[in-house]
Amino acid sequence: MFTKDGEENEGGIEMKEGESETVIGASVKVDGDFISEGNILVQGIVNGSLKTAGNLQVEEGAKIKADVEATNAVVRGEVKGNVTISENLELGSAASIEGDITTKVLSIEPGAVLNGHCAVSANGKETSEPSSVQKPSSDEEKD
Amino acid sequence: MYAYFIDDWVYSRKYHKQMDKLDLGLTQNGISGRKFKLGRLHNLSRSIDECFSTGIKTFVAVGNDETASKLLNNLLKVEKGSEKQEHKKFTFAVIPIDDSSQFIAHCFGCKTLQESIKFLAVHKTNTIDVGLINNRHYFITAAVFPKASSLSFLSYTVSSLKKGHHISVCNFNVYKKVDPKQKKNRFDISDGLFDAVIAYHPDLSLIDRICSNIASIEDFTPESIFPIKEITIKNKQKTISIFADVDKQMSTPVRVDVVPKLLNVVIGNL
Repeated sequence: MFTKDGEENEGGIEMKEGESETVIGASVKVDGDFISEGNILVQGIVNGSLKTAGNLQVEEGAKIKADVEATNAVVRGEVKGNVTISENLELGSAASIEGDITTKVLSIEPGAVLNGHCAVSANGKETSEPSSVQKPSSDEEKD
Repeated sequence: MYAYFIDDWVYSRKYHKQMDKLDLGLTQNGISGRKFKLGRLHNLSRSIDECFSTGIKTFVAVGNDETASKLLNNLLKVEKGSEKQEHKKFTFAVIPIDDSSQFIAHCFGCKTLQESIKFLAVHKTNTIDVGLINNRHYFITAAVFPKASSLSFLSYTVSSLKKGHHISVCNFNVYKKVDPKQKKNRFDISDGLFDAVIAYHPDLSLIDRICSNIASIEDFTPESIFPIKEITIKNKQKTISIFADVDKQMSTPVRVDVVPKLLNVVIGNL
């Protein structure tokens, strides 16, 4: 988990709020292939591709139309594209992902929308037959 | 050994008392040195060469940001154009006179004349990164670009969706409103990286608007931050006016390069 008060949750992602090296603010649009070595916080719009060797945090209201690669990620915004995370991926209740997910550890909060294939394996590599995840019914979404 | 490059305007009657304090402070601390008056026709490069040949290693700008920027650019150009080893190792310092346009001195933690003399005597130094604009103008603090500019990186571009923004490329933190948690890891003056910042105008009250209280750079709120080693800033205008320690006219696109650990400076309390 990303911790807000500087404490680290056991087994969680060790990226504290305020440690993002790159901040893509809510009023900003990024077009192209965004490649970084450090942590990224996305609050705005990203079109193209997004790749980092560090951690990724996608805030509520953020819109990513790109394939995403990171070590750890917390998604609370919208992602249209394939998401490849080598360690932990956490989907918040406001998250919406349209694309395939590949990760080692996945946690999903109730309310998150996932429309695509999902591959979770201990070595972080995609299995030969990814399990499909169904889009929640409209009734569930309203709840 | 020290060389003091004193701006022309400092010799005016208005600053006689400050000059007396300067002389006294330098003598008392045993850091007196050679003095140069920076007149309009002064050949700064020749004076710098002369200083290097006499073994002077500490160059002090006495005046304001313009004095410091002028001396810094000439020093680095002499250093760049020279293969002599003695031209490669020098220390840069500033002594502020008057309160206006003292951005560089404030960034170095030298807010007053007395403080600066004290820090110069202590000679606590730090090697910092320097920015280079269009391969010709060096800057230390930050380069601030006009509205309607966009950031262009090697493989992606960044544009603002909202009006009322400005773009800056910062070495030192020029904003008051930076998240304290962010400050810890940002604006490191010797990490080989600058921060490209898109900041927004604060919401002004109706009274402020009526009174035309225009917010200064410091009052803008940084929203997006990109660590950079090099960057290109685009603008529809062919020539734009930017602030890079001092006001400058630059042709677009403007390229900013970070030269890591280029300058040894006397630093006060940061």
